[in-house]
Amino acid sequence: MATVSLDGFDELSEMFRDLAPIPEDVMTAALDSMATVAERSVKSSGLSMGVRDSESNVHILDKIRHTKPKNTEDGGYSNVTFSGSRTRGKIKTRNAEIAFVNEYGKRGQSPRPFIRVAAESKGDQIAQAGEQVIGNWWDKTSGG
Amino acid sequence: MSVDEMLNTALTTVGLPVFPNVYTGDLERYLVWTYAQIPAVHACDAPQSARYLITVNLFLPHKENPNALKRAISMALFNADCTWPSITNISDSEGQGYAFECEWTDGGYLHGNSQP
Repeated sequence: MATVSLDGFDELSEMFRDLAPIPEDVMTAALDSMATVAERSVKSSGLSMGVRDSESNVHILDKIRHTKPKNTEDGGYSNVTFSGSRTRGKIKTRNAEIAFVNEYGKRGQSPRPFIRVAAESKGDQIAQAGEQVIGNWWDKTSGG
Repeated sequence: MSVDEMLNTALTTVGLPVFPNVYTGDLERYLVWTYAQIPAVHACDAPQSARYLITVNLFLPHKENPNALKRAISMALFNADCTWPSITNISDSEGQGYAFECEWTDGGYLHGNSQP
């Protein structure tokens, strides 16, 4: 991990100028790393709360995927989603919908806010995964 | 005051039956609260406080205007020192449903102290 030390405003401005042109592949790798940790965190949180689809043997927590990172003008993003669906008779239900009902509950079913708990309790670890990638690039670039 | 007491006291002012965790009876209008607890403010090898991620679910029949209740529940939580809640519509074929999400913190709960 890079160590950043500063001495005054000029040096701070200079550091931001150097950081601004982070290469696209580094940004993509950082986003991918963060999304991977977020994905694991949501799964772990869901397992601890007993999140499941009561009408299927397929575990919806095995259907968590993150999308390929996309860079935008002001940063980038990767979506962590529940892929696929299950069909019972003629009714098709998306795994994302099953996750939604688990997260917020419904009549007769208590909420299991596994996504919210993962985001709130693992936010630092998710950010750290991105910082690690950018820090490694910064070390190489600055010769540190 | 524990988080359980805080929620029961605050939500009773709304005027609907209030239940912890889950309700499986026949009422059409009611509130259910639940929360997750996250340790916070780590010092001296132990968390000094707890953050509570609260979810309050409001259930109503279809075709009823929920706006006054949504406002009353938000105010009740805010007046009990919770953060102002965000509201997600969780209605389904059985009726209307709204999930209120907010946070509360208890300064000394983990050490057995009461919230002032």
